[in-house]
Amino acid sequence: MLLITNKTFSLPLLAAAFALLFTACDDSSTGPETGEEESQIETHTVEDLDTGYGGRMTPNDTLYYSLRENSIVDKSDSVSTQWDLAFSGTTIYTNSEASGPGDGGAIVLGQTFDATTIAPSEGYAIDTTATNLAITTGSDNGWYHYTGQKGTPPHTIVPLENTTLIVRTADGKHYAKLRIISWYKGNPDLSSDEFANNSDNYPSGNYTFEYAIQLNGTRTFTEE
Amino acid sequence: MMKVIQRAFLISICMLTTLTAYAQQSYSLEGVVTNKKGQPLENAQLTLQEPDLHTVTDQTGAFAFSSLRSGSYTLTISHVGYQSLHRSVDIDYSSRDSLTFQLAIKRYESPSVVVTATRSSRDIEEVPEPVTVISDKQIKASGNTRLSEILAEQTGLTLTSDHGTGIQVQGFSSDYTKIMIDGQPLIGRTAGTLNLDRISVGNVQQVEMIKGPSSALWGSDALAGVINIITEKGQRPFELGINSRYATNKTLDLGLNLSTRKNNWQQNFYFNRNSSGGYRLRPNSISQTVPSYHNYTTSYQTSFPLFQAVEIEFQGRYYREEQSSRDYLGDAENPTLLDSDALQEDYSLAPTINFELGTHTTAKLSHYFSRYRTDSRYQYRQGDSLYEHTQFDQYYNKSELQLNHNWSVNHISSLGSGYKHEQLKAQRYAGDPAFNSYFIFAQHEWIPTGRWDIIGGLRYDGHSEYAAQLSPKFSARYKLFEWLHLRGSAGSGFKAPDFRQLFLNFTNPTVGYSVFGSSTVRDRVQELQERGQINEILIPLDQLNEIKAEHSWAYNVGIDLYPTDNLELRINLFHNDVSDLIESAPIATKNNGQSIYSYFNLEDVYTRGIETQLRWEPNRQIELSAGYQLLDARRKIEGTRTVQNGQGEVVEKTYSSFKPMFNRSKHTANLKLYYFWEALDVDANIRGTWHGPYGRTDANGNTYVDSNEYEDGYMIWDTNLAKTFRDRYTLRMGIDNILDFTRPSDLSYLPGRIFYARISLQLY
Repeated sequence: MLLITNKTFSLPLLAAAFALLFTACDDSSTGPETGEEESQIETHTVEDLDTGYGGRMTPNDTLYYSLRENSIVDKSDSVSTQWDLAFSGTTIYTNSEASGPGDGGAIVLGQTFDATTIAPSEGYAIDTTATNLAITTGSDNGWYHYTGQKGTPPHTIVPLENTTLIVRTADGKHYAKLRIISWYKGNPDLSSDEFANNSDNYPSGNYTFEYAIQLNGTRTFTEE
Repeated sequence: MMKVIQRAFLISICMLTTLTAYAQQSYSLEGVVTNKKGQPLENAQLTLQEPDLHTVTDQTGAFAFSSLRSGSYTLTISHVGYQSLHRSVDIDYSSRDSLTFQLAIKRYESPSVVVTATRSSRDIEEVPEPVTVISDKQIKASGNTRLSEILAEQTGLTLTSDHGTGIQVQGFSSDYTKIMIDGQPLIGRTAGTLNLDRISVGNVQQVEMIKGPSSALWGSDALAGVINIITEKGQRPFELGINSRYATNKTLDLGLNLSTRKNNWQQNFYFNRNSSGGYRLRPNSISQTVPSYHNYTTSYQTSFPLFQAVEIEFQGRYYREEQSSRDYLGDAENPTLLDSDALQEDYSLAPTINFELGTHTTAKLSHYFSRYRTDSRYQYRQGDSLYEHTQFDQYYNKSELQLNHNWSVNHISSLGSGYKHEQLKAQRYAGDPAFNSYFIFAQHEWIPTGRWDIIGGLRYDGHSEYAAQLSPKFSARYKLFEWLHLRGSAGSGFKAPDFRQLFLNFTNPTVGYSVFGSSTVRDRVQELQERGQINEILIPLDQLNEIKAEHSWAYNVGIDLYPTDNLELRINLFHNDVSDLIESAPIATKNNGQSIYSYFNLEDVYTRGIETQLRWEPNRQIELSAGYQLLDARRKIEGTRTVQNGQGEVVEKTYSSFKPMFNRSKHTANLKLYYFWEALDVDANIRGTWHGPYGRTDANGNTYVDSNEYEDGYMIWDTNLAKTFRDRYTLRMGIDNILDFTRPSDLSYLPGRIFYARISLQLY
């Protein structure tokens, strides 16, 4: 069950935002760096985005997601710029070079979500090969820590604290900051005995994350 | 001619007369042996030296030695259930009276002689090192049978569960404490843990423990400390004791001690069988938390003088454990069941020759051989085919010579040297790796006045596979007053890289990553490179440094207070700086997207704290002891972080700080109360240990403990009651873990509440 909640914006506001977005996209004469546009920040929390991982040993499904639309993109549109991020197991692809036709990219910042008030102007990494990704894979390399056999709880994917992903959208024009909250369905408390004893109730490969996206073409994540 | 014969005759007469007179000058020693209440003790053993003369007391406690020459003798009186008495007696004209000797009943008194601090027998109040001693009386009173259970009750020690029960000392994990039996190291560690459940304490005279690095004397692994188990040596001509203990979880322990002693020929034999039905902490789990097992321990020790000034000693030990358990593959809902049989075996042989080279010098030449092997099989329950079969076989040989020389009363030196050869046969290790090492150590003790005792020591360890180690140590004790002693020491310790870190040659068959030991990684990576399997080399092979041993420097400062005869307070402050801890890290990536890992000296750690120990015997009935440890164990966390500058642009920032480590309680404490009712021969005790909150779950993956990652503290209380009949038969009944505390997630060695009964019979 995919649940998309909208924390700060009501539906009419969201619609207005989209309208503005299209205007902004159409009007290419307006430079993205002028900073005079009215801020159009959307903040969303996406819960239990199921990548179809389900505890299987090899990730065999990929889920495409549009941060701009805050919605899942159908797999048939995987070769398009509709999606910004794709999730497969613990791997997150950006819509760039080896992964898609877009101008996406990402930076993994070692700072908190709240402290991130602006997206950097440069330094974005892209997916150059199937294994060399903008959001680097592996424990402690990108967004998560894997506790391993000796960990408590063992064999668990724990999102790294003080880690914020800056994502450039597939159109190369917008920036989002993103924090992954959980990789387990229902966002369980990973330190609880409940999770340790009944891990089957919390299937893995279910992303819960929050993100803020600036749709006015600037890089700021502040309202003013 | 006649004159000559006459003279010869006269001389002969004279001589005869003298001889007769001499023969008439023989003496006897008579007396009575009683207990402190004045009741006579029958069958007390008396030995008079030199030469060796034996006798026993009769029903009235009386004894007599006759036909003695005048002179000084040493008299030893021993009796089952009583403390042995040593007296020197002068036999001459004046000693005609009958003597009365009173023996005191054995109580929980602390023993006074230790060997681990200086590699020679010394009084515990003299050595500058902070030594902890657990006596056989304490061990027997605790009702416990394995070393792990005994150590769990000691101040500052915490048990850990990782491939066996290990011990954490001053915040160091169990890899860093050296475990020895009679000064010889036990081998056979799994994932760094030497399983302390392997060691039976049924034949232990005392357990000596030094906290803090002791590599200056004992070499590798003595980084957090040394635990030396001193086995019992019989005191009487013939001793035979048996004991058995039955406890919850079908746990049965049977032991037999046999010792003989005659004309300085001494033999000690010990046999133990220990078995358990195992237990489950999670009632519905497929596998038992601790599987059922049975094990055997046999040991034999003998010593005898070969010539005057040459003594031969031999020790042998054999241990074998078989364990069967059930395991599964897949998920617990629909498991594929496996049956597992695991065998563990270790044995050791240690011949020693002790020489007395003149009055000031002794020498000890010894060899130690030990082998540890495991063999485990996993079998599919259905179809009975083999799933996995692993074997591990480790050999250890050590030859050593130690010289002790007393220059004078104030100067004592020790010098030693030795050679070690270790070999391994196991899967995951290419071609039976072996390594050689040699060592030389020197120690000098200077006692300038009755108040000072100063010891300096140095040890050099050379090795075929890693950088040589130099381990110094300096310690001093100062008696400010009779009741206040100050102690201080500084020294270093090291732990050699183990077989795994040096020689591992492992490629995961399903995932495809590889781990190579530091001695093999160069060749293996080159090999893979030639075969075109390497994608990228992260650390150029010519830049690989030789691996170093993990190394520490430690400082201890302490005060010992003896305000009254029955009160003792010891306070010790410690600080350990540890560098070059070995961790695995990627060295290259393969074409399959996986990494190749090897071992590097990466981590820095420090642990520091205060340990206090109080002992109080307000009267002959009560003994109270209390201990507390404050511990701060931190690991260096460093790296670079991608952050933003004031303009929002990306910059790399390095960070480095020391952060708290997991599984370490900041506060631990224990309390023991012993009660001894002499009139009824009843004793009872209650013992408690408390562990404060400790970091357990790394919920956010930052590898250190955050304030919300602490697990609650816990308390364990044990108690028992014993009645002794006729000073030699003891029935003890008790409860361990009265509060029935368990924590399946990380304290798997705690089985919950245990009831037990133990019978000890001292037959001779």
